Amino acid sequence: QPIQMENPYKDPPKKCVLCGINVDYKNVQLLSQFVSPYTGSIYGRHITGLCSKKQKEITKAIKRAHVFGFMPVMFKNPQFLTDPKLHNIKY
Amino acid sequence: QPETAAVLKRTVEALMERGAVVRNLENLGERSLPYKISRHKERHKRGGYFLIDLEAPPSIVSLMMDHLGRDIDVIRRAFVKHPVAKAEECSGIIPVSPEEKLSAKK
Repeated sequence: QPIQMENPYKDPPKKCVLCGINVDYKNVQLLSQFVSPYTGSIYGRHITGLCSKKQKEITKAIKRAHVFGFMPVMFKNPQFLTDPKLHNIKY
Repeated sequence: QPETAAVLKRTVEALMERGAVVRNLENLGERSLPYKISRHKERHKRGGYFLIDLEAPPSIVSLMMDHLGRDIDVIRRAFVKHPVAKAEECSGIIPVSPEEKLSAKK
């Protein structure tokens, strides 16, 4: 008689890029990775592929960094232009 | 550099006067600002960033914003709540079945 149990071969749920990482308005490098280098606009969830919690946290942190004078608004900080690509976006 | 020390001393003293407990004062370095900020009839390009860890009653916030607004050496002021360190259990993206998506409330 087969025993009823949930699928033991299931993969663990897929994690987004920031799944364990604490998001802070102070680390401008992390935040600049989710911002367009040309206009400085924040990428949407269909581009970044983050879960809703982390996307919300990131947008709030970016807006805070704009206001407090940590991150430029209209463009991406040229220091962080050569960061590794996180999203498959074609400009 | 002695001017910045004087500014910090002034602000911390004002805070202690209103009854705030200062836990920590961090210097986040002096760098060129991301955009030119005009304050008190001057355009600033460089500034020092400081972070003060505070414990204070919320009535202090408006008083301090007023006080710091009158200080010429302070370019931009802000109060932020302490990020409560939790949410270690970010369990990844849970796949939503298409039926749930259809019947989801908007």
